[in-house]
Amino acid sequence: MRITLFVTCLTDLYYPDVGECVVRILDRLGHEVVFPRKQTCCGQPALNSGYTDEARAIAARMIRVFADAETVVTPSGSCCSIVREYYPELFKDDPVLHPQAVALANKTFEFVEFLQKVQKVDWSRWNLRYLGTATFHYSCHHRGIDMAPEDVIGLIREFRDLEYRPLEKMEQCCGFGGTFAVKFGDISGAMVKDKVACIKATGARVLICNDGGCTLNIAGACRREGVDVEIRHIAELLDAAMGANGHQVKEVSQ
Amino acid sequence: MNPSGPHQAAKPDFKRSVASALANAHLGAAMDTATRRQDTARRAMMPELGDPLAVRNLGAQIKNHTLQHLDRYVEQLVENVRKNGGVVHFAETAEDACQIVADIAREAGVQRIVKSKSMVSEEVHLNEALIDAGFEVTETDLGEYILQLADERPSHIVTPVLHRTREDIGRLFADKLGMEYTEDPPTLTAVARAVLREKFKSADMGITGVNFAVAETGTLAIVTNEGNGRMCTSVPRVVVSLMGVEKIVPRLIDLAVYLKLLAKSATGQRITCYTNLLTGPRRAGDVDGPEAFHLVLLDRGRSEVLGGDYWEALRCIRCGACLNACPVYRKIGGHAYESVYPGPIGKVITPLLNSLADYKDLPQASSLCEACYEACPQRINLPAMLLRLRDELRHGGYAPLSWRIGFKGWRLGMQSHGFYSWGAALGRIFMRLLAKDGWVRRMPAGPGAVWTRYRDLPLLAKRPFHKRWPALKAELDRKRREEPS
Amino acid sequence: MAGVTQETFLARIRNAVAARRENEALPTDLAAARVVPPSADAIALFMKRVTDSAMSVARVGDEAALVEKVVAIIAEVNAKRVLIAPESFPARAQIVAKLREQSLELLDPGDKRQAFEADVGITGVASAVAETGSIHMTSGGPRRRLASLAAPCHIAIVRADQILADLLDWAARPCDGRPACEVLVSGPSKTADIELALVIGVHGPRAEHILIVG
Repeated sequence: MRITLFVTCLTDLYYPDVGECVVRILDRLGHEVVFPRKQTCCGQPALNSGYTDEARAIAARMIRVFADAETVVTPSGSCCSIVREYYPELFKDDPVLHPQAVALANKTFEFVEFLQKVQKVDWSRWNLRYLGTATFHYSCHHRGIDMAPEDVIGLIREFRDLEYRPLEKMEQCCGFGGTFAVKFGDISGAMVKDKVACIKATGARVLICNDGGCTLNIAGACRREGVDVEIRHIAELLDAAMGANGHQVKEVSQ
Repeated sequence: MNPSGPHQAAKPDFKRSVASALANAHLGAAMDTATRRQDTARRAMMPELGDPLAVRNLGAQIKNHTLQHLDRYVEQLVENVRKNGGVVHFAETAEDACQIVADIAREAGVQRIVKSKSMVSEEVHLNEALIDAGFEVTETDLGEYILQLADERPSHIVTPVLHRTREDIGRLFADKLGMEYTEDPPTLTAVARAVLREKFKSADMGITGVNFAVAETGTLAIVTNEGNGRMCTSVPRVVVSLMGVEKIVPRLIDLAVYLKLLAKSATGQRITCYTNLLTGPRRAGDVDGPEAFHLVLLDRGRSEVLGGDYWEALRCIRCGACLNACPVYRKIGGHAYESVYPGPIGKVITPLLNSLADYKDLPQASSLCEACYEACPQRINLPAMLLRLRDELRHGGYAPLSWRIGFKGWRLGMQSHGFYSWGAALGRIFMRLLAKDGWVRRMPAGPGAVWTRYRDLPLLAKRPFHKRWPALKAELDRKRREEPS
Repeated sequence: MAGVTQETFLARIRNAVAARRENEALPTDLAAARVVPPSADAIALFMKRVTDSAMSVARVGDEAALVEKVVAIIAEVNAKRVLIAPESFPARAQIVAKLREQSLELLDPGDKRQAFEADVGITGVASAVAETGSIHMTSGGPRRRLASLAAPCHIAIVRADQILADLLDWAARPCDGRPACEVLVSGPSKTADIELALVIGVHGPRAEHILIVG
């Protein structure tokens, strides 16, 4: 398939490794990956803060940038849910952009969703291995795109030698919420402290977290609280495992 | 001023009430345990419906139709309540409602009133009005009775004293009832039972809320686990039921659908212990039951909501599932919202039924995690409503100038890849001045300062993905050329 | 006169309704909400559900066995004062005779003062629902509200043919002239208001005994 990558501003600017891993994985799976260089942001921060006009302007731009795409894949569940859940609504009064918004919504997928529900990859041929302990934080916006925790945990369990440790309060929001974290800093702080305590309690070496916002929030808090855990997007584990093609992978390198 | 106190004369101050809630470590622990327990119980029980989503959708459809034809159903309900010997009163404001009930009590020569739980009665501050008018009012739901002794407001729609420990309650009972201190729930409950039993026996009037009112028969459904609803409606000679006008359902068969959804969503019970159905006062020839039955319909902003963009919030059946699922509610508890209706539903209907100006912080205090939408048995899209309210606040002049400027700048940056890329590069240069080992521990002012109160901020990546793409693409193209097909 | 007139009240709602452009139909097919199919063994499910809800239940083959069970329960709870309304239910006459034989005091559940002094109340039911493990009682005529409410122990006598499968079946039955009061009892009185600690026996009976005959 021809897949157009929507890398998202957070992943682009903070976690570019994740973007690279996603590209390499899709390439290995036989897809042609294209990357529209003009892409910036889906508009989520403005939309979530009630700055709908600004968000709409950026969303319109995004629709233009991705107009030629056949299938769009993004490594961030929250950005995917903005496109799927809110873009059609944003343009409901616009006879020109509304159908385009709907078209984009219908062809945009979150990365794990694409692997597991669209392509339905048969992982048995890839001999995935990860030696180590890992836990998983369920990012809230997966709710908006119909991805249950099991949809990701199923993929995690495909890795041999990975000791999966369930996270208590896995589905509880980490407190990022975009501008919520700075508008209601104390509530957000209490929420992320709770999340970090649960992560620490698992004793896992790695936290798998598939959203740039959650990762920014949790990584920063873990560091502040002195909790030593690596936070990885599942794409990073997958890329290393697929690249190693069955060789034992102990540590995912920076 | 105690934000949880009954007389809310002072303006709500959400930021302050949140600070006070977060400072209360015990509250956080109590809320965490209690809300998770009820949320887990809901998730365990809902699958018994076979296809819970289909039943929730059915519940939503029935209410949608009802709301879209509410005038017709109000008329039908009123006609049938009257046909069965009840009297119907119409209250537009809280003052109307309180006046109506006080007048009923006065005209009937009532002195002692017993109340079963009613959120609407809290909404209109009915108890205070009746006590001021000289009547004795006793709450008979255990949680509400405890609140009455403590002179406090409920902190949860269904389980009102979640914020208090058994030790708190033990001390309260010892203090107010003059008994020896105990924190044993069965003993405390037995004491309350004995006190309230005497109240039931001697009460002239019972006041109730209404969970659902069936238009086709003029029947009011009142659900409890304790049995106080039955007592309040069977023993006193006058019964008054107070309801928000949106609680109407068309048929008895629709009631069955909601009974299947309500308790499962609220506490994970299959159904509450008692489902009490009232259709008017005693009939001619009946030996028991109230001689007079009054239904008070309350509008208080609901018709305005019905005509507007947020009408779907009126589908709410007050189950509290959204409260139990909400990570923010779990941290701050119900009193912080300074409203009868806390939690996610409260963030939407409190500003709408009162004033957006007074409650402007509520719609903002959400991370939009959508746990509420996922939990709601009526599929109310609260996150979408919160976004809309935020947009209204922004256009209504409540957005600080700094944020408006900030987002104009953000828009500029995002509209041109050049600005975006250079902006990021400049941002990184600035951050490097503050960073140590690739992380910023403290930012001096603005959103950055709030962020770094609780977490470090990593440096932006040296080479963002969009700069790496050409090399990455070249590498993949080369690999493809080298590979045998 | 406090409040507003019906017309004023309705006028606001009519305006609001007029502003709504949506016009959804009232669903006629509620089958998606059915939990228990009509073909199910309603009696067995009913017995399981009431047991799950901490009510005791027993099924007897005939009225003689029914009377024995009632007497046994009364002895078990050491009851002295019993509420029985003039309503008819299986073996009523024999039960009353047996209780009189044992010199138990039979109180009038229509008298508030007497009702609150009773140890046990015995009633029939109008119907029962297997899905939720509920017994359904109504007021009016020879029935008395307090008979199933005021005493700490309640014995409900149910005929097997009164047990319906699903709440939808209960709601669909025509009821000419609804009684002033009905109740679905689905458990003993309880609360969890104090720290979510379950306490059984608040304002309603703490013990519910259901006896199915037939």
